Amino acid sequence: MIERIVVVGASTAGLATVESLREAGFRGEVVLLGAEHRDPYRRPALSKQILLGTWEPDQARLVEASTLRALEVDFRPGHRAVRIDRRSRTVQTDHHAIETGIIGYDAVVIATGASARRPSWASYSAEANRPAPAIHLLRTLDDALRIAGQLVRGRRVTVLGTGILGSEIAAAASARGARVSLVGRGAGLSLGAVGLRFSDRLRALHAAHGVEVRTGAEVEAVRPSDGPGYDVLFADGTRSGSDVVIAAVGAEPAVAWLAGSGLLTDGSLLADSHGRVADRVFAVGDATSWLDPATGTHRPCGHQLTAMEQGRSVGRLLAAGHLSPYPIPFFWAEIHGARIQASGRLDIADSVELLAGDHDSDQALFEFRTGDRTCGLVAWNMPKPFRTHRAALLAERSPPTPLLETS
Amino acid sequence: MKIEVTRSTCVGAGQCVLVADDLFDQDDDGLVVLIEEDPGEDRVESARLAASLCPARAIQVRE
Ligand SMILES: Cc1cc2nc3c(=O)[nH]c(=O)nc-3n(C[C@H](O)[C@H](O)[C@H](O)COP(=O)(O)OP(=O)(O)OC[C@H]3O[C@@H](n4cnc5c(N)ncnc54)[C@H](O)[C@@H]3O)c2cc1C
Ligand code: SF4
Repeated sequence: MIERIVVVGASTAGLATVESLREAGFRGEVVLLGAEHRDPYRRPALSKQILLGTWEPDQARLVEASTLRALEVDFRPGHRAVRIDRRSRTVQTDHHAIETGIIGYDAVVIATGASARRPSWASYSAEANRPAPAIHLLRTLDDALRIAGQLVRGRRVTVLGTGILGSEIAAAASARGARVSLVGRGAGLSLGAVGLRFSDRLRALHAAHGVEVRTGAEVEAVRPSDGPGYDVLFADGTRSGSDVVIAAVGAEPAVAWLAGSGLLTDGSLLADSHGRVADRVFAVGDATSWLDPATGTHRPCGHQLTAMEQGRSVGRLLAAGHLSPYPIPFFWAEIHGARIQASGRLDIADSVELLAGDHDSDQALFEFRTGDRTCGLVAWNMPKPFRTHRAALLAERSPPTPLLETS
Repeated sequence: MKIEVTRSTCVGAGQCVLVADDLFDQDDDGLVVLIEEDPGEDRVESARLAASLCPARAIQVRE
């Protein structure tokens, strides 16, 4: 009998789990632990509306306080899980009071997401008695508010990392009047699973908005300069001055707290195609990689909708024994006002065709194909055609795979 | 039941239209347009599904 479910991590994936547990009729106790001292919020808004300053922090809320109450969930913000003990079926938190610090579970759902990766040179602390440079990372609302406060007209801002997040941050900073350079070690600008295929489009977009792009550049260190701000030192011996340095060089699953639990495989939290890690242990969202039934490999989540679908999938499985199909990836980005939407298995494509719009205009819809089959779609400012074609893509989705025995 | 949409958060994914094209549509920018604000109880299920699958969580369903 499952009477109490503990969900660890109170963001998109954790909240979706709780909501679908209730929706699918689970009447038992649900405890939701969140390391942040805040109600759940929309992370994608951080690099967009929050950095742009067009939203107050409260507008980023994922749910109204009343909705949270209606879920009858024992939500504990500011409670960080530090250990799972599978023998006694308990989760230990950093709260010392015995009655709130150790929580028993019949099932536990791990939804601890990811943390921003710190570049290896960022811990470099300059010569003694000089402050180590503040390299900003972006993952939480507090990070975003701190960075937003630095995006002042005329300031020199360096964004390190040429993935989607780096491009979004650079775009927001330039919209606020900063002088922005976007720097990465790769050959071009990448767009998640799409890779470098749209690098030229992204370059053109940044150029049109005054963002200076420098690729193939290895950063060695960031040091306080003799004047104001910092010097960014490159491996080829060049340097550039900057007032604000922001690193967006990837994210790492936040699973260090599970060390010693026996749940990690080479440091990763792997789950089957239904989110099961082990007996009574489930995982959803950016913390985990689910087994993709199509390829037999484990794939990280990385995106908001996948995190939600995984949460729903586990919630329905736990509450009602219901099996859901494997989520088809979908993500979007907003860069200098361009709305980019992508869906499907973009990494396996062997050819790409223009379906609608124009190669040289800001509106284009691309079809990604593997052999003669459509495996994905990417749209630039073409939301409606994107939706129509996506419907066809989703219609081909394979039915849920059966449940196999877990250990 | 009452449906509310927040157009300022909508990302034009069209997920809602895929789930319930009798309740939602998209304008030319792809932003959600509510067709039916107060649909009958028989459509609660699909409204809720749309709300829970909206990647931007721009849809609220109130009893
Ligand atoms: C700036 C930014 C912009 C993004 N933009 C987009 C976008 O445009 N489109 C898109 O599809 N995706 C986007 N993403 C990705 C998307 O936000 C993530 O995929 C999604 O948030 C994953 O949800 P999650 O719940 O798995 O993890 P997270 O959102 O990372 O949440 C995990 C939560 O668990 C908490 N936690 C961690 N450890 C513990 C612990 N030990 N105990 C208790 N709680 C813990 C954390 O504090 C956090 O609140 C963006 C991400 C970022 C950072
Ligand atoms: S699903 Fe959400 S984000 Fe997508 S169009 Fe509908 S309301 Fe907008």
